[in-house]
Amino acid sequence: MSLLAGAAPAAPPRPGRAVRRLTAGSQDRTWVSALAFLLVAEVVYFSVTVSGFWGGGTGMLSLSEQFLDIGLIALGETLVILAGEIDLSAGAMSSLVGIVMAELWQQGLNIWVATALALLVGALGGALNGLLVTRFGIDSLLVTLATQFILSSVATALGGGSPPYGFPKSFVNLAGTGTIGPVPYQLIAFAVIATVTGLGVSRTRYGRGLVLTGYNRAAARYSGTNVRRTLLWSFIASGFLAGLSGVMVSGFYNAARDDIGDSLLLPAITVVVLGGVDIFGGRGRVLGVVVATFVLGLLTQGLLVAGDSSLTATMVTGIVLVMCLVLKIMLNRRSGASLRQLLARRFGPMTRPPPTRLGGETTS
Amino acid sequence: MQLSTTKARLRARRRLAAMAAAFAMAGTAAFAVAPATSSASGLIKVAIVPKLLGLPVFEANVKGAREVAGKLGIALKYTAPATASAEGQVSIFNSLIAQHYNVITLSADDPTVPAPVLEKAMKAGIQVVSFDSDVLPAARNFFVQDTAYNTIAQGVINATEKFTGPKADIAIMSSTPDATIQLAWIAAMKSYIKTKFPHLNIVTIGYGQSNQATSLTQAEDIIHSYSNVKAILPIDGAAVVGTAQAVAALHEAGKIGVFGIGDPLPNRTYFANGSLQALFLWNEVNQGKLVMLVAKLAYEHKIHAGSTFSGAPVGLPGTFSVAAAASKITGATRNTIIFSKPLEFTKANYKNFDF
Amino acid sequence: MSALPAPLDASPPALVGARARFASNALRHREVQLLLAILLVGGVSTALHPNFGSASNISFMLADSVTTMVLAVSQTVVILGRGIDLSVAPVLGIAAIGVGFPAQDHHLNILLALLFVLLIGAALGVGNGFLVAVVGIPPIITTLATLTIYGGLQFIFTSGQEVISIPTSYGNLGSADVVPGVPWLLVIGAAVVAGAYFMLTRTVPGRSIYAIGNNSDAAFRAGLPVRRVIFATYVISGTLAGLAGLIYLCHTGSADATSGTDSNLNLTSIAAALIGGTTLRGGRGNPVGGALGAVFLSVALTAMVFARIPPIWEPAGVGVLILLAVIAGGEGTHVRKMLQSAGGARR
Repeated sequence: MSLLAGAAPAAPPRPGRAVRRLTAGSQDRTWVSALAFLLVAEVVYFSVTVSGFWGGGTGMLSLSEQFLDIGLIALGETLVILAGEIDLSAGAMSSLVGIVMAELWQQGLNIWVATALALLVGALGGALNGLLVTRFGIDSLLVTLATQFILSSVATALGGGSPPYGFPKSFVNLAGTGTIGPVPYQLIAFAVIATVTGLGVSRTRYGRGLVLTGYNRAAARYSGTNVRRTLLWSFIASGFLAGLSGVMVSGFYNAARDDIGDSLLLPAITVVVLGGVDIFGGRGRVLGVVVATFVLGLLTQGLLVAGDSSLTATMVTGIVLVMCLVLKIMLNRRSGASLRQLLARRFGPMTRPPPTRLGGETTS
Repeated sequence: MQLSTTKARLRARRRLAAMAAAFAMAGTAAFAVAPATSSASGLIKVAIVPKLLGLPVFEANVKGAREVAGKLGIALKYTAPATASAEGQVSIFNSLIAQHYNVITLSADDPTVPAPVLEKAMKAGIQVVSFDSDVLPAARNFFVQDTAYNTIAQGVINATEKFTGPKADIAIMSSTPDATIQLAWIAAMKSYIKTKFPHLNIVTIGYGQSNQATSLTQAEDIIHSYSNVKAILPIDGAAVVGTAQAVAALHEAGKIGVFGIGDPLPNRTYFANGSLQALFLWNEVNQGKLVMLVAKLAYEHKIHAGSTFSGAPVGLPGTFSVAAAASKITGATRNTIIFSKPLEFTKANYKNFDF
Repeated sequence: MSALPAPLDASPPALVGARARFASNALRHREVQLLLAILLVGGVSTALHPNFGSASNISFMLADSVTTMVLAVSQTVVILGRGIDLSVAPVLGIAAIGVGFPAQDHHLNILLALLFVLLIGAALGVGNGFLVAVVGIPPIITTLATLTIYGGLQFIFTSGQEVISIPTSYGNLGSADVVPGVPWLLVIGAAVVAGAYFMLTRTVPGRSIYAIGNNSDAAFRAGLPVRRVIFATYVISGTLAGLAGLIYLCHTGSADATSGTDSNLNLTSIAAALIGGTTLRGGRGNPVGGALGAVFLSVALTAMVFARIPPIWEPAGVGVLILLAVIAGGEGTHVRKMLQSAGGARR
C-alpha cells in the first residue's frame, strides 16, 4: 500500500523530512479548519436553499443517521491507513457481521448476545487480516482484496434467500433509529467512539506508535514500538468498527442483508482522505476524518433532499474529493505557482539532472 | 428522452455551479433560487422510484407513468439509485419525506431494508404504493403486482414442456439468490412442476447478478457442465439476454430451448436467430399507467381492501380489484392489485411490441 | 533518447545486478507455475467431466477471459510504475456504449469503432494521468474519484437506453473461433499481450517504467522523465480499457449504464495481474503473467461450476486464489525482508 505513491518520491524540491514533520502539525490543523469552514458553508447553504434540510435542526440531525455508518468504517480505516496500510475488506466485514448477528438471533440467541458474538467475529476477521499482513508479510491491499471476496461469499451463503429481519424493538431503537430528544443514539455512539479513537491516536503511547509506524517503520522500531502488534491491533480495530457499523445499519434498516456494507467502503476511504489523512500513512488527525464525515454526508444528503439524483450526488462527491486534494496540494506547496508554471515544472525537460533540492525555481 | 436528459444535465450543472459558489463565498453568497419542488398548483406530488436507473423495463414503466401523469393531475418525479442498492433507495425515500411528497411509488430492491423508512413515510401521511417487487406489507398502502405468480409460472413451464417433452433436465437462470420476485416465481414453478410434470428435473439455478456479462458466463457454464440440459429458463432481464447469447454463441439455437420472463425489445436479435423461443411478461408501459392511477386513488383515499375501480381514467380496459386477503395461489397479499395476465412473446409476434 | 543513461541498456526488467537476475528468474517461474496450474485444473476437471475438455468449452473459457486479460495488461502497466487504476471498469463501459449505440443504430464500421474506443480510452486515461502525474494526487485516490465521475458519465451517456443488438461483424468477432478451441478474441488478447510485452521490455520508454517502478527517486536522478512516463502509463491503461470495451461489446452482444462496473472488473483485473506475479511495489511483473492470471481465473471458476460448487462461492474462490498466488510467489518473505531492513523508510 505504502508504495503506491506513483511519482511522489520525485516531487518537486521540498524541505527535508524532519522539517516537514515539524510543520505538518500546523498544516493539518489548517486543513481541519478549512473543512470545518466548508461544513458550515454547506449547512448554511442547504438550510437556506432547501426546504426540509434544516427542519429546525432536528431534520439535519436525523439525516446524520444516513451516513454515520460510513463514518464508523472510516474511523477504523483511519487507524489502518495511519499505520501505512489499507483495509479493503471493511465493507464486506460490515455486511458479514450484520448477517452473523441476525442469523444467531434467528437461531434463538438473545439479540445482545448475538451482537456481542458477531462483533467478536468482526474483530477476529480483522485479526486474520492483521496476521496475514504481519506474519506472512503480504501487502495489506492484497490481503484485504482477497479477504473481501471471501467474506462477501460467506455473508451471501449465511444470509441465504431471505436474510432475517424484524429484530426486537429495544435493539432497533438503541442500535438503529432511536433518539434522545432530537439526537439519534447513533450520533451519540459515533461521537463517543470518535472521541475515544481521537484521544487514542493523539494521547496514548499506542497512538503515537501507530502514527510513527506509518511514518517510518524503522524509526518506530528503534523508538521501541512493536510494529507488528501495532499493525495487528489497527486491523482488529478496523474489523471491529466495520462490524459495529454493520450492526448499526442492520438496526437502522431493521433487517440484515448480505451486501449491506459493500457500498460503504469507497465513501469511507474518501472520507478518510478528505479528512486529511495521508493515504501513505504517518500523518493525519481523527478530528479531520470526523469533520469530513459530516462534510461529505451532509453534502450527499443535502443534494438528495434538494431533489438531485443519487447519481449526481455520487459524482459531486468524486469531484469534491479531487478539488479538495488539488487545493490541499496547492496549500502545502505554499508557492503561488500558476497552473502553467506547475505544468512546466512537472513536464519540464528532465533528461538533465533536476535542480538542487532547495528553492522553488521552475525547470523550464 | 433526449430532452429530459439535457434538462437533467443542465440542472446538475446549475447545482454544481451553485455548490462552487457556496464554496467560494463561504456561505455569504446570494443563494440561488431553491429548486421548484413545491407544488403550488395543487398537483399531487408523486415520486416513482424503481430498483435502479437505466433498466429498460423500468424505463418502460416510467414512460407509461409520464404519459398519464398530466391527465391525472400528478407532478411526477422519477428518481432511483444508480445501482440496485436497497440502502441507496432508503436515502432517496428519506429525501422524499423531507420534500413532503404526497405519494411514493417504488419497486423495492429488498423487501425488508426499506421497510422502516417507508413506515416513517406512512406516519408522515405519505401514501406508499409498491409495484413489481414488494416490500413488507406493513410498509406500504398498496402493491401493484405484475401478474399472478402461478399464471406466469404455468405459462413458462407449459411452453417449456411442449419443447422438451415431459421428461427432461432443465435449468433456471435467476438474478441473485435473495431477489424476492424471482424467488416467488421459482417457488411457483417448482410447485407447478411437482403437480403437473414430475419428471421435469431442475438441475441447477444459476445467478447472473442482473448483469449480462455474468449471466452469459453462468449460462455457458451450465450448458457445458450439464450436458443433458434441454431448456434454460432465464427469469430476469439480464439473464434472458445472457442466456440467449450463450445459446447462440455455442450454436445450440433450437437444440436447447430458452423460455423466460423478460421484455421482447432487447431480445429481438435472439428471437430472430432462433436462440430464444418464448418470453412472458406483462405490458410494462400500461403497468406504469396503472401505478399512477393507484397513486392518485390512494392519495384521494378512494380505494381500500376489497374495493374495485375502473382502469378507464388511464385508458386501461376493465376493472381492477384490491385484494382483501392473502392468496397462496396468486401470491397476492392484502391490498394487492394484480395488474394483468402475462403476455406471451414468440418469434411470431415479438415485432409488435416496443418495450 | 540515446542520451539515456547506461543502466537501462541492460536486460529486460532492467534492474541492477543479481537482484535483477533473481527477479526475472522468479518471473519466468511464475508463468510456468500458472501454466502448470491451468493444465492441472483443466486436466482434473476433464478427467471428472469429459465435457470440460471439449473444444467448445475451452473456446468459451478463453474468450471469456479476454476482457479481463486486456484489463490485466492495463493494470500491469500501471502497477509496474507503482500506480493502480480503479477506473478501468467505467472506461470500459463508456467505450462499450460509445461505439455500441452507433454500431446498433448506424452500423458503424468495426475498424472505425476500434479507432473510437482507443480514442475514448486514451482521453479518459489522460484525465487520470493529469491528476496523478501533474497534480500529484496519489493514484488510488485519483482513480477512486474518477471511478465515480466516469461511472456517472456512463449513466448520463446512456440516458436509460441499452445496446441490445450489434451488427454481425461485431458478433462474429465476439463468438467465432479461428480453429475449434481458439476464439478470435484470444488472438486479439494475445496481440495486446505481445505488444505490451514488446513495449515494456524492448523499448526505452517501456523499460523506464520498470526503472521508475523499481526506484523512482533513482530514476529521476538518472534523468528519466518520471512524470511523463507515469502519465503515459495511465494513458496506456485507459486506451487498453477502451479496447476492452469493444471486446466486451462483441462478446456479450450488449452494453448498458453499468457494463463493467457491475461485474467487478476493477478488482478482477487487479486480481489477475497480481496472480500473474506483478507486485504492488512496482518494477516487477509482466503482461504475460497477467494474461495467464486471467485465463487461470476463468478456468478455475468454470471448474468450480463443473465441480458443482454453488456459484455464491465464486468470489471466495477468487480471494483464495489471490492469497495462494501471493504466498506461492514468495512475496511474503520479500516484504518481510523489506520490513525488517533498517532503511525501511515507508515512502
